Amino acid sequence: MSSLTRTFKNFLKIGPRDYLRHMLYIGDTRAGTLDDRVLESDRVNSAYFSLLSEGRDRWVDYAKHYGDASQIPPEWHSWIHKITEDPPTIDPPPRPKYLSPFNENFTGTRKAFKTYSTTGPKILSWEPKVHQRID
Amino acid sequence: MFRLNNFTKRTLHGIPRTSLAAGLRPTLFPVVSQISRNFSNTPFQRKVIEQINNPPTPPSPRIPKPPKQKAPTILDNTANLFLVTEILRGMWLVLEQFFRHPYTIFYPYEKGALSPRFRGEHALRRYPTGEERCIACKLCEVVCPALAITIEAEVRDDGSRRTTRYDIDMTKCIYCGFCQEACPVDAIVEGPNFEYSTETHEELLYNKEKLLANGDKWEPELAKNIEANQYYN
Repeated sequence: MSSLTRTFKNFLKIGPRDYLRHMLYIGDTRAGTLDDRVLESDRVNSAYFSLLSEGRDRWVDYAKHYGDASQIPPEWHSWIHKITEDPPTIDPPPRPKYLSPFNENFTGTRKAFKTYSTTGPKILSWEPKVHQRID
Repeated sequence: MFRLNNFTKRTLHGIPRTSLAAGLRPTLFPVVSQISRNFSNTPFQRKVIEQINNPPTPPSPRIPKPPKQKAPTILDNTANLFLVTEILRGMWLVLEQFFRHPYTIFYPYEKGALSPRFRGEHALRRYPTGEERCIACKLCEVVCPALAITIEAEVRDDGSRRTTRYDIDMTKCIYCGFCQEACPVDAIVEGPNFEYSTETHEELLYNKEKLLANGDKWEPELAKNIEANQYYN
């Protein structure tokens, strides 16, 4: 939790609803700038804030109740890990045409990855054939 | 300082000030040396050996005596006991810490800084046309110190050599990054993702389709990281 003055200041800025939401999830009262373009373009419907006046200026507000870090798409992943300076709305990364729709980590669900062999079997088992018995 | 009596004083501590080089003849050297001494930084008046060896001791400073500590009175003891000041002070400390900024970051809402060279989950990349890069040269399989990579190759219908099997056992992998260093076509890379923990061991036995899917998913960030490192390769 931040300092008392900052808590009151941010509470007045964001209102009681967002205050309770922040206290439920991030456990801190924060006021930032929400980029509306994010909500439109983002496939997992997360909201991202940046507060330039403080040191810890990048965080994510997950749309789902059980927010998972693997729900962050790669463009925002590089921003929230401070690999890139600007968010992808300002500095968009290349988006090739073969880009697949984004998935979170599906482990523990029915969509979890199940490995398989991409080649055929190398060793063929013996299939015995019985010839016609000639009497 | 320029002092006139330096000229007049011809002797110091009873030694006549004549140059040894001049012998016993009276010369102008003492007078000249006296004039030059007035502009030098070295002190003119030399001290005798006894005075150097036994410098006068400086007067020792007087240490003030500490004031006498008063023993706690009955009133102090009673106040400590009944007003529970220690507990109140401890509770105040907790209250201060509650309104102070934490030292930890709120994962997964905040995340730590990463390098663009971070070696995380593997991915197989594609060319901009969508053609897979890997040409099955098997350099990564050879260089892998943990023997985590298995490759089988065949000639495709159009005559190009591609892999039919590209398996990485992520539980064997030590994430040394030799595979992406060995790769001549930048096909196998270690991406920035480290949040791929699984509940079962089987999910970490990646095959070619999974690696290509990783590449298709992470390509925006992979391309940016490779671009950031282009000057250092």
